[in-house]
Amino acid sequence: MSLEVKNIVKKYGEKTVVDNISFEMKEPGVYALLGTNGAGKTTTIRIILGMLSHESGEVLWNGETLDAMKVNVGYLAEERGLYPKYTLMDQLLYFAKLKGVSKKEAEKRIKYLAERLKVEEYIYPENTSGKKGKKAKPKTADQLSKGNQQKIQMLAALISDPDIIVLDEPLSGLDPVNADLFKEIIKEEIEKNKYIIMSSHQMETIEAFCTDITILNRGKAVLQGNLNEIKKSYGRVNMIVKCDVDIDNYVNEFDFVNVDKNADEVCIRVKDENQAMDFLARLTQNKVPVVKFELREPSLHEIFVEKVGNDNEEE
Amino acid sequence: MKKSNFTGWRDVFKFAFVQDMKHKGTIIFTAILFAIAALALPITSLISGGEKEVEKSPIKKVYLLNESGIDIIDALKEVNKDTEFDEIVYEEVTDIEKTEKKLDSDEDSKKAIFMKFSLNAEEGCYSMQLEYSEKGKLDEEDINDFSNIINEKFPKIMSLSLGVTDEQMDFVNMQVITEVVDYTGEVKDDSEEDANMLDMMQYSLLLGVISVMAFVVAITGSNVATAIITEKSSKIIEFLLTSIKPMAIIMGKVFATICVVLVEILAGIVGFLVSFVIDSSIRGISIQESAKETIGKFLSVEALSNVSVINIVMGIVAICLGLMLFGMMAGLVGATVSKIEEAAEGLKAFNFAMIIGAYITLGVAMAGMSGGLSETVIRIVCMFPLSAPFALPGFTLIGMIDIVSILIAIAIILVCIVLFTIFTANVYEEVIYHNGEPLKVKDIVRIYKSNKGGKR
Repeated sequence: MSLEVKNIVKKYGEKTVVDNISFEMKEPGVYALLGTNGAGKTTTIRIILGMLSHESGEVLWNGETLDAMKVNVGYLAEERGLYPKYTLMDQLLYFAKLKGVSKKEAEKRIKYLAERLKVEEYIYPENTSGKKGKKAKPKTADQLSKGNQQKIQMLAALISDPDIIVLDEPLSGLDPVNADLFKEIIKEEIEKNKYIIMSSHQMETIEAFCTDITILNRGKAVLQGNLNEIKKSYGRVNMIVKCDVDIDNYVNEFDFVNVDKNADEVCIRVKDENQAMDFLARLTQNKVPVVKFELREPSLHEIFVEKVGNDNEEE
Repeated sequence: MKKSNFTGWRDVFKFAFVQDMKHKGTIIFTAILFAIAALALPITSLISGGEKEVEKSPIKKVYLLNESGIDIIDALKEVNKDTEFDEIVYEEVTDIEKTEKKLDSDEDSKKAIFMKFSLNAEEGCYSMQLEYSEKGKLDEEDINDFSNIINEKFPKIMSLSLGVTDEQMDFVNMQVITEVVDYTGEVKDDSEEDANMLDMMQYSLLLGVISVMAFVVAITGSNVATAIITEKSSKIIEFLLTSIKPMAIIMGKVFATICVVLVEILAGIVGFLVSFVIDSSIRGISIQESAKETIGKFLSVEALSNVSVINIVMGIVAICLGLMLFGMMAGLVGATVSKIEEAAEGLKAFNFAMIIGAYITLGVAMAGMSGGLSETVIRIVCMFPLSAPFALPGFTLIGMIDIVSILIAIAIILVCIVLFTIFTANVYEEVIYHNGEPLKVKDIVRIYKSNKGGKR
């Protein structure tokens, strides 16, 4: 199985909001779509899911045009929503029905996912009034906190046990405990060999889950490929030095790309590893007490900022 | 199996219908409608019905000086049967002076009037003079009531007195249609078309249908638009669109809303039927009598003479298709609005279309009352998509449009629904993601044009 996005273009009038985007997932895993707000991530996702018309390009699933009505797709939208006044069970069963899941199977999935996401008490309310025989009133969406509503939406996205899962900013607005809960669920889906497309501003999460990425800027792909290879291509150009004495004079002697001073250490972007070694040699020659010296590849965050940092105005 | 644009509309329909019916607002509205309909007749009976039973006219006797040459006493008794004047005793007199003195004399005569009835050949009319004594127990109002009823029922009194049957009277009153033709047979006069004049009852029926349709269309439109706006503003629509096409969503919602409105109307009708039962038990009459009396107050048999099963079926089809057309419009309008508080502004175009349709029909109905109404005008108003939902059911019920024209009108509405559906399908997805000020018609047309070449 493979998911292939080929040269998709979307215009609003004269403005091109998605400009010739292509990528491919040859095997299960997590593909990251990154970009600043308004870069075209959500529009790309909507086109992939067949929800928006587009000028050219195609989205293929196993070589055939992807039709979200035919292929089992789960979607956690960026702009999340539930029917505010309907009971959670009613709307979850409705979503399952629209996905073609039988009531029996849906009830089983809801039970399982409710346990995993720790929302059973809202879907299966218990009678706490103390009055015998009185049924507890089922909860409606507007009675839940934002985080719990998000969990219900995650449940809805996974209710049909989808083959392709699209998660648009899945962790935004979640507290650390619930974010970990979501990460666990995502890990579980990865283990089940699902094809997952994820967009997020949390670079650590992307680094933890994603094998391949595309960074979008103003509708165009400014960087894409395997995350490890991208990092390798940059080389170990991030040097972190911590000394007991001030090293400003030594730093000024070198022609570094970038210098960032923190409270107790200096982060320096070097041209290459040789320049870093020369700097370390200079310090040791002068018997500067070096507490920490680290040379590493740039983080995704740094790559992202480098690629779109100067051009991140909201559209 | 390939999923079409409409696959899944039944699931949307079931869910929307069940949730709407469970909604507190719907339950309360339906219950109020039922209660009002069920209690309308009994309350009216309790307020006015009881008084009617006991309040007979204080006039107990009429002395009649009849110089018309036509015996009218039996006819007077007949037309006043079961009315407030049915206890009056009529006595024919010849001596004016003696009769006038009688009005002041004994107790019985103090409740009597003197009626002078004659034929005025010079002026070509009948003359009726009613006298009463100021010393008696009657006042001017009592005499005026009696005078009014005689005036109102005079044609019937005369036809009974002259031995003319109702059928013969109908023949006498029949309209004549003249036609001027030359020797080739070509019609030179369009008096045939001018023959379509609405009587008061037909006009009332038409007005009733227009009012009910305007009410139902407004409620349906508002409910469909609100449902779509709620789905849009709560962002649920984006999730739904991965499982189902927008047309299926609109279709399911429109049908569900129409069904909810029909259930509410049905509750009103059932309530009205219940009111006959309560009314009949309060007044001690049969349910049929109660129904006949109530309906008779508003509609004559003549107004309903053209009602047939086919007309009723066609009328219902026209109502349902009209609701669908306006429901689809409301669905699209709902999609152009981002926030529920902007619904009224977004619904402006919808309300404008509805008002145009209703007013065109109303104008035609008024023209029908005041003068001739050509069949062409009736056909046009029944076939024009905006006015058809208001005009077609009414004109079909009163039988002023032929079956072929009805079928053509229905076909036109169907074509409009299909065209509107195609248009909506093209713009809906784009419109549904719109956030901000409500879109205007020109914006939607622009989206349609730019989407024509797009692919999905």
